[in-house]
Amino acid sequence: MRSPILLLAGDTFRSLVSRRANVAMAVLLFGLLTVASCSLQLSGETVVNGQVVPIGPEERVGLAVGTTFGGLHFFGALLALFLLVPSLSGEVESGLAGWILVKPIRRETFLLGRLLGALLFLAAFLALGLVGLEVLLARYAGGMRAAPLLGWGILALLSAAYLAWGFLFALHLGSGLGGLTLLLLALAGAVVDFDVITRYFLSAPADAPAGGLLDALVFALRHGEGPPTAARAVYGVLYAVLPGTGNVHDLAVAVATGRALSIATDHVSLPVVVAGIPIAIVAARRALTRREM
Amino acid sequence: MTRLAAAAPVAVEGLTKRYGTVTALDGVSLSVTAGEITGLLGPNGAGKTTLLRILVGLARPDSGGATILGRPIADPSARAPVGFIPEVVAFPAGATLAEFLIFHARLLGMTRPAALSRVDALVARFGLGEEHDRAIASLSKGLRRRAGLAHALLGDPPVLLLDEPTADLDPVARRDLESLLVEEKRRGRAILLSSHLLLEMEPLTDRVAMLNRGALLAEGSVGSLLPTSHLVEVSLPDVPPALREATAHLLPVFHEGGRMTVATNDPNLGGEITRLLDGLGVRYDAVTTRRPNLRDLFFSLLEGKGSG
Repeated sequence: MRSPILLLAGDTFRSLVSRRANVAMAVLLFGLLTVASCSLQLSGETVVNGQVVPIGPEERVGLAVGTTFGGLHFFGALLALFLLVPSLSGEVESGLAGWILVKPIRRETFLLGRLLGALLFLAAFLALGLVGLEVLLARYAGGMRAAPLLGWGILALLSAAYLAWGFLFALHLGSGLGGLTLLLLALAGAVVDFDVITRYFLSAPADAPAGGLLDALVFALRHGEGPPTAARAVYGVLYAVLPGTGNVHDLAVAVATGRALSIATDHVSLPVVVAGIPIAIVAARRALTRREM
Repeated sequence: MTRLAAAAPVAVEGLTKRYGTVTALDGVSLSVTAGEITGLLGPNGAGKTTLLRILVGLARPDSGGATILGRPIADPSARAPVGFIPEVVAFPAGATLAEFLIFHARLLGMTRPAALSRVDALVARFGLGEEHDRAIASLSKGLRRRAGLAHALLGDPPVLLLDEPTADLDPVARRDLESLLVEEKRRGRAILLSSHLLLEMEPLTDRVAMLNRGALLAEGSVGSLLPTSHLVEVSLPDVPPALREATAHLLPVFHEGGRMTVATNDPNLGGEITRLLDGLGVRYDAVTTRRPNLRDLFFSLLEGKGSG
């Protein structure tokens, strides 16, 4: 006898795999890997920390990993927004969820099963991207040097957060308005994440000491350059919690390539994202009850 | 919850549900007995669907409670012994009948081989063999109802809750479904079905609970709720005061447009009324004597409530 969560996850995964949108996804993935492949063959100069340097093997790998992870992050968010989240809210709005919820199955079990299934689907998408990237790196750069699986795991966590918050918004506001809300939040996050703005508020000085997550944040707030500490703290919170920021994605790239992070709050965003998942699930469960489902 | 009610497979006591200013259920109490079909009857908006949705955990009552086989409905395990068919039977696109049923059987805790065997048995029993591998969303209304009933019986539940199961069926599909329900009743299941089709439910139901605007008008066996054995109906253009006076002692008398209805246990009352009409010189179209039905009961209850 299999757990209802796993049964629901399997059902979700199967129904998502059978959709035609997968063809579009495969095309996107192919395009993404083509761009990454081009990055690995670049020559010339680039700007690193404000200095013009020749593009060496390290920069090429960093660019390819950054491009691929950024694309996976972006397309994964689009998938969540336009395919996975609407499938759950559609199930609730059409009453199909009733077939399951009239059984002795708790609402949180239903939500977790659906979330897990959608996440498996996204994880498969991310895994295909990672495998493709590894093949490219092996061909052009002698393989990835740091912890690609850990980087991939961080992206998967970010996807889980997108999904959980997407489920929450869709159940509270309906699939249309909920999707729009998530999209606006992601756009707001992208603005907050705009490189110039981020550096203005949160750049840690080059001599920032190594330390724990909290140490890094405290150091950035105390010693960062630019606006007053309070403004930087507010910005730091926005940077950490908005789903569209590239902070977690930056962390994933840094972990995968073994590079240091220049922005201290990148360390803090991941726990915030992870903590947001159960919060979103609990709130989504309340939304289901309120909608009499 | 009284001890007697709690012993019934389904026991509802003082259930109240409000949506804003609208009272969907107003202190409803009823019970459903094993081996019987109980009709939850009333017009659209009476609160039937709300009551069933509360029983299967899709809605929460504002006050009152209910038990299923002694377990309070707030406990998800109370839904284990229940099979339910919603009013609108929508199925997921892309799944075949067999896939849908097997998935739901497994959600009930069956192993895959047990689920396959149970689904095959139900599909055969409900004449759905040819639809086994068809997309379930493409089935006709009648076949969907059967598929819904097969789904409801997956876990061999002792309690069946059916929301307007025959509402949109043609006469043949309705008759087929009714015979399946009678078969299930004979197997000892407690069946609660809602319907606004009062006359059609009469031969099917052993007991009825009549709802109107969230209030329970009556509950009991059909025989015990129909107070008289005969109804005499007089069709006439108008009911003159002289006739009203002359029949005032024959209570209960109901007037509805150009029709006067007298409830009685006297099978010869029709002849007496004919003579009375002739004696008073009242013009009439017809005097007929027939057995009362649930529709008569419903309107008499409404009239009684209105006058009371």
